[in-house]
Amino acid sequence: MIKYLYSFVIAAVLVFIQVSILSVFNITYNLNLLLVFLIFTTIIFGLKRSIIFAVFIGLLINIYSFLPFTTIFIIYLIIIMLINYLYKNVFTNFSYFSSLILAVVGTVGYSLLTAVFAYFFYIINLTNIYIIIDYNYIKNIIAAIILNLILISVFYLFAKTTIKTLNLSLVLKNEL
Amino acid sequence: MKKKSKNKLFIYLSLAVFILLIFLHFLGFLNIPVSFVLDKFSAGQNSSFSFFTKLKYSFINFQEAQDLKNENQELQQQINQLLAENTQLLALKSENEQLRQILNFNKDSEHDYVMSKIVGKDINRSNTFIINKGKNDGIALDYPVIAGHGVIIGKIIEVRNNISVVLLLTDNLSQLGITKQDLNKSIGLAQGEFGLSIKAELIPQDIELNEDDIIISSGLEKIVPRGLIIGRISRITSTENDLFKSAIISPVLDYQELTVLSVIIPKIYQND
Repeated sequence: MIKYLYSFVIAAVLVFIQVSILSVFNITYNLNLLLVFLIFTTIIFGLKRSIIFAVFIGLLINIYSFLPFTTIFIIYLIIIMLINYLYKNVFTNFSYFSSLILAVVGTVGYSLLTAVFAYFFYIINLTNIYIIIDYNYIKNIIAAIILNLILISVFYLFAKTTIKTLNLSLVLKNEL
Repeated sequence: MKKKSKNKLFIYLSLAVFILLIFLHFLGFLNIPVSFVLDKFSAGQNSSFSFFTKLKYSFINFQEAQDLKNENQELQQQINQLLAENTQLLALKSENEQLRQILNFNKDSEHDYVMSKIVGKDINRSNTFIINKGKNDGIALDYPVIAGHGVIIGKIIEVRNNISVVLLLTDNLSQLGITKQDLNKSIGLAQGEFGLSIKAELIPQDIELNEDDIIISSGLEKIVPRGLIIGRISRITSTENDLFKSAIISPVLDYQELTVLSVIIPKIYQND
């Protein structure tokens, strides 16, 4: 129970930072802290833990979105399952390169799924707007990829240092 | 093997929770927890949004002398106020003339306002604001949102019980009927351009347009009243050979600097 409570508090803090701090600055608007966190959680702690985070983060962030309730949770769920599959079947170890590739796949997948879901809900009249795929959209995806790569690099460095210092190699569940 | 089946069970369990959540959401059972979370969040969110917005602009204006900035802001406020008053007076004058002609006073132009604070932005749509007022405060879809003294900045596109999402006029999907201050009829359509400016389109060639003309809402839509300032014409982009005129409208306010907004609630909808 305490584990779930911790997860909820972490999710709430991350959502708060994303909605009310990162969105203020033009340079950080495209940075998807929540997505990068989920991708990294999937790599480090495995699918189960990241699903718990996805539930809390997805539902909380959906309160602040034009998309219908639970949509972002579904998108996160698809992304982390894809990341988990790729990590286990394509990449064999926890490396910097694999983290970067998975961040790119996650960011592009998230952007496309959001656009597809928004358009689907617009067609069935559940939302009033959709996401136009134009030059601006492509520009935002590229900015998001660059920013997310920087962030995942920071996460990677942090994780590597922590694992080395505290000898926590067993934390890497997927490597067992 | 055991671990795999455990993982599968966890995924099925997650899906069951997800279906249950959708079900509970549509039945309205999630309103209380969502309201609780929002109540706890929104005060802090507004404070942090305001703080970081101010911080952002303090960096931008760091090189400027403080007194010059203050003076400029005061003058800008005065201009906006005078602009709003002037626009409203002209709109009222023309409306009054029409009303005198038909001797029938129409009270539909009266509105109530709901003050709201910006708590953030939608992460999937950059040209949006999330405000801390929703259905419980009488807000509904498509209601116009203004800032300062009658400057329209967007419309409501999503309403929850305690929260709403505002789509800015600069978004590509925003559309609004427009006119000039001194005209009674609608002259065209304002449409957002890449989140940066607003484009005025479908303006007949016989309408005279000049740079720096003030463009206001035409009142063509029942919910959006006439006379709300949209911006100034900064550039006329069409030529004489085009079927319609088009122009670029620059908003009179910097949308990114806003922290407080008002939602206009038309009285005709208040008893719904």
